[in-house]
Amino acid sequence: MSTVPLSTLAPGSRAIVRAIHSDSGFAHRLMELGLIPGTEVALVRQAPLGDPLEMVVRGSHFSIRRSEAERIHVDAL
Amino acid sequence: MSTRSDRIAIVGSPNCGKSSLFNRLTGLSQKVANYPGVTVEKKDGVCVLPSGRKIQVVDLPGTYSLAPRSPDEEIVRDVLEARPGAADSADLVVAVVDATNLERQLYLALQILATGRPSILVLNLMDAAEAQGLSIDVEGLSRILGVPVLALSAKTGRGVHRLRLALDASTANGNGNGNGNGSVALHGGANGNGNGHGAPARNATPGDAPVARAVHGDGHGAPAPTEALALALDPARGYRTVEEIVRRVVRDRPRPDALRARLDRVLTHRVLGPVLFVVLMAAVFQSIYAWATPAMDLLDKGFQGLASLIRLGVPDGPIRSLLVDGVIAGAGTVASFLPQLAILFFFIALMEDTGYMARAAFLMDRVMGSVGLPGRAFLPLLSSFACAIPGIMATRTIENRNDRFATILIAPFMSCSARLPVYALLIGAFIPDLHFGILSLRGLTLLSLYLFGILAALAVAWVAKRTVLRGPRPLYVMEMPPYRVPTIRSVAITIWTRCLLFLQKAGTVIVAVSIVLWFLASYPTGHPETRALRAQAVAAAASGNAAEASRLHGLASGSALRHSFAGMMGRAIEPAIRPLGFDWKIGVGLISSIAAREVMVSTMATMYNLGGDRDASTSLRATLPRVADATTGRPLYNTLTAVSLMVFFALAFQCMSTVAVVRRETESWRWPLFMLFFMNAMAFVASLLVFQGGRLLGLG
Repeated sequence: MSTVPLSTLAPGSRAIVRAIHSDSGFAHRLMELGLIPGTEVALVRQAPLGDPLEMVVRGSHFSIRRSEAERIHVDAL
Repeated sequence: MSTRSDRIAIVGSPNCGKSSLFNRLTGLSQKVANYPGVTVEKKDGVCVLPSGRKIQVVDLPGTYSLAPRSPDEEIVRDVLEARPGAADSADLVVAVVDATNLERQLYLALQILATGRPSILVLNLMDAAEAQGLSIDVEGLSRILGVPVLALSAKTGRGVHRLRLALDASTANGNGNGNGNGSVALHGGANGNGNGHGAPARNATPGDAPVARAVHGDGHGAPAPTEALALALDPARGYRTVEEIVRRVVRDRPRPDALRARLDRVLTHRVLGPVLFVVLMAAVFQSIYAWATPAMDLLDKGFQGLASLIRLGVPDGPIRSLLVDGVIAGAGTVASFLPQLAILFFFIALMEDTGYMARAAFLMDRVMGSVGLPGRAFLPLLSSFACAIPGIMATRTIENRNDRFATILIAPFMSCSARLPVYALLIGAFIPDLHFGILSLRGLTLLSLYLFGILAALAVAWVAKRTVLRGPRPLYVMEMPPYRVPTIRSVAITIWTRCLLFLQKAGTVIVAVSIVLWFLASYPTGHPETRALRAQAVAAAASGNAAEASRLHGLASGSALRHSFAGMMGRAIEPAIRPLGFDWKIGVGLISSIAAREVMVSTMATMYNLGGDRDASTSLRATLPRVADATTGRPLYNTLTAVSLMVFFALAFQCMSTVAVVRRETESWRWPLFMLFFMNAMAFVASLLVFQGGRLLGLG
């Protein structure tokens, strides 16, 4: 199992968050939303133009830009 | 007795149904204002409790954490950490969570409870939770957290009465004790009320800190604000605690939201999604552009009727003129915006309350992002093609300040419906009626003016985001709430509060400016030429020659306007606008267009002695090309003048109502004054280039 950016997952797949590679403000805000290392995250779909993406964390849906999802590193399930 | 009324604060994250609870408690008593110095909205209201007492309720901005990163979040933190009795404080905090998703919602609730402020936890959206098959041990949650917990549905109203009872008991005791420890009072009140209801239960004794224990896992109650901050700074620890609590109180896993999956498959579909979005936007635009017209006409008739009544009751003279042409004209302008505002906010409330707005932003983010704006800027900008007033008020759906201000900055560049009469007049008078196949030159000219405004807007947005509104690109991550059925009540309250806000904050400025403009166009009176013409008109009317009387009245009105302060100002600015191809009469028209751009047409008609009535535009269209220069005898205006003037109208920031609403929405005079300066400078330079460039090319 290898760690990959969330943005590379195919729509419909699930993964476990490993690390958020970013400045502390961004990482902290994501963690406040429940995206904590060890949490399961699912990539639901991408917007018609390929950006942003929709993800599910702890039962809540979020839209997130591709550039932001690139910084979230996950282990695909 | 207390010297001030009790205050409670409602706190919760976005989409937890906080505002519908606020609507339930306060109804139409709510007032929307801004927090001093920032553009964050402050919603206040009065709640009448079962005992008949009234308490103040404040709906704090939605936040995900008490670690402040935005002005909204700073306000929440300030209120929560304010000392009891401080000016903007709360005697009791109502922490609202979405019961369908405790695992994410309790993190903020833990932080709130850890501040040590007297609190009640409300599990909102219980109807949705039950529909999903969730079962929550409410009493168990109350035991773990050490605060009363109430399960309710703000939408259906179920359980809200119990909250009112709990508020009644706790705030009343808080005053009676006078010991300053609200949580003790809350404890007593909740027990006194809890019998038979089962819900507000608190089993901790005053002084111990069960929240802190639940969080810490040790017995020391750390000083409260520090504990709240520690939790806010360490989400990993906070969520571990939340997971543990949820394991203990939530039975049954929720069923997946099948409706959501089905709707999202269509509404965010690669092809269908954008198509449906365009259809919906077309409907919104059509309704504010066209369907608002009957209501606007009706209001206009109402104000005309009022003016006629005043003409009957008040003798001719300065007072009547002030009332009819100053006050009623201004009030009529204000009222004319209301149908558009109401319709637009109906759609916005519907889109927000159903959850569609988040999907629309999801669809549009990439498109709008190419010019540095968020997806949510689309609707305000689209609305601005009808009128910038509702458009600018609709920017409230954009959370980030820089994004919102950038949208406000460019909204007036969208060609609003008030520019259309001016364009129609000038195109009809000066653009040849040529056709190229199915395309007409006049149609293409109008289209170019619209595109010109859009291009100018995009350029200004691009520059602004790199200069005055520079800042780190905001974190975009946005919650996409589940689909929910909106309530008529909540939609109606949104429309009501928005219209009221406009009347109170922008309406007063508009009426005041309207009175100033009336004064400038009416004084000084009594120029000999005007007097002579009026006397001739009266004589003509007396001798039964109605046509001659009407013609002389037109001449007299023109004479009065030409000799008024507005006329003098037109002459004074003529040297400045001469290089754009404008004479002093156009100058007077520009000054009058401050009231509203379309007033330019009736003012020009008056200036050219045609009277100010409704078919003035048609006769003016024939008159303008024939106006001759007094010295050379050549036509005073030509196609180049018209193009220069239309370019000016496309870019200039003229409309006082827009100034007033920008002032209201940005909570300072700095932004509207800045826009007045740079937009009018842009208009001046563009018109100068068009006119002088055209003359160099031999077009003038």
